[in-house]
Amino acid sequence: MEDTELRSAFHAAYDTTITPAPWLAASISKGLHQRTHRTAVQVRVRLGWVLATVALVLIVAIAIAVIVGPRLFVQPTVPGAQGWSPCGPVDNTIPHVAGLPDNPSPLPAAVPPGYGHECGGYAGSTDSPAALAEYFRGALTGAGWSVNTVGTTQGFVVTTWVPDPKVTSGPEPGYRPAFTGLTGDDVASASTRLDANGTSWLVDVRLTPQGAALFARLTQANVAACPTEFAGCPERHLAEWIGLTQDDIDHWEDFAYANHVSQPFDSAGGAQNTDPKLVVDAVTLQLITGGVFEMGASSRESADYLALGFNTRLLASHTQLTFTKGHAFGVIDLVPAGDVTAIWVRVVS
Amino acid sequence: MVAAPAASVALVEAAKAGDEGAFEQLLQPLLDPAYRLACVMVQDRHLAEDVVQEAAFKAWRKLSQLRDGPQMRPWFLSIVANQCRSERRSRRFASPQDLRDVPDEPSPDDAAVAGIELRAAVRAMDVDKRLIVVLHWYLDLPVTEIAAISHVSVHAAESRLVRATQELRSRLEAGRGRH
Repeated sequence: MEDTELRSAFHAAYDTTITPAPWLAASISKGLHQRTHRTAVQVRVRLGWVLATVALVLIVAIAIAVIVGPRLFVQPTVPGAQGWSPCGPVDNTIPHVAGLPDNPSPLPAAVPPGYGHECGGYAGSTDSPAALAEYFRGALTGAGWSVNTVGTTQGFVVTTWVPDPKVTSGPEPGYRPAFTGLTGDDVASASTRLDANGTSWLVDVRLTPQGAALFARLTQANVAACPTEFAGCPERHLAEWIGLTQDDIDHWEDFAYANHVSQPFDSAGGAQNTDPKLVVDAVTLQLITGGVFEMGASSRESADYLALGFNTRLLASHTQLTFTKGHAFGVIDLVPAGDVTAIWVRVVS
Repeated sequence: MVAAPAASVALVEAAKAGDEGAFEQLLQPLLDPAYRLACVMVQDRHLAEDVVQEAAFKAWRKLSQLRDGPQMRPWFLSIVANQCRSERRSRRFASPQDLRDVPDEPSPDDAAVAGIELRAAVRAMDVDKRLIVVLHWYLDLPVTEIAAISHVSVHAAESRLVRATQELRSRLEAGRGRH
């Protein structure tokens, strides 16, 4: 094929399939104006916060170094309970539990880096979550741990964004998350795969029929809110979170709080009162009616964690205990899975 | 070859000073080639629109890095190309089937079949080679601009263009051999 033929072939092949987008210029103009205005407001607000935060960090750092510094080197252990010994080093094995899917990934690889300094394990019991919660509450208290909460927690939740001028940080400044009702309970199964280029990990999520119907309504509302605009339109986003609570949302006006919670869930959480919780603040490209969608993951480990969490119901609603002793912090998740209860224990230093 | 439109020095200076209107004027003639480039690179028209919008916002923020007016087109298209690369890592809600290429409807027409074959051959190339052939054979850009967009020397751009074109022709031949 000669050069002139090749050039003509390109135009013939693409000019017919790529139709002009005359609205693009207007959309960019609008988005540019919104972002410029938003950035100016953010810079003014951030400057004040930065100065206040620097002063606060200095005071806290000095206090930690003087008062509790030496205790930071104490290694935490999982409390002995139900015949378990303190786990010490990270446990690389996960025993198979009847009623749960086979788990191809060892727990440490499936846990996000935010839970880095941990020891943990996974087992099953024929006792109910409520009975196990009571058992662990007693065992932990007896071992000198302070049990902070016992209750039902949501793993995976999906939110929309609602305008709130008081919000100045997070993925969508000027907007506050609002629960949609779509949670990990609505996920039927999930699996991981590489994308077509072989470079990025994806999680294919299949919703239950009820979840699919809700997801269709949500994506329909997204598209209706901003039919021609993707960027600069938070109303066209659906955000996914791990463990986001109403209490988190109630604190969304707190610049530092919202900013921290909105970090990727698989980034380091550090010794904070809250963990980073954002999975993705995703643009809805179109109405999705089939109840199947794909999510990008930042790594194979994160993709495995999400798929494993969905398939083992760890990201569905379940009973959770948190406990502390000194600076050590632990979590026990009691996950109903058929006739058994899966027990996940992890302790973070 | 299509010569780069000379952007007014006054417009560039006004845009650098924060004049959004001037920036939009500079951007206007570049949106069509940017959109076409993005469409071929990311294989999805909605994604392509998103890519061009994001590239425009990045260009606005980085405008101080633009040296002079005639550099505007390769400078902006290089931002679009980078955005296309990073788009592969982006996260979106979409049905898996919706991220695929514009559907190629079967057609008895020879031209339509040739178009399908060419798009399939381009799609099979890796991102860097795809960028080179699209810039040269579809957007009709001179090698000097392709070099600037690809951040390589003119000589390197020429070599890459020759190799990418050879690969494209081989793929087209192979594709025809199968039918």
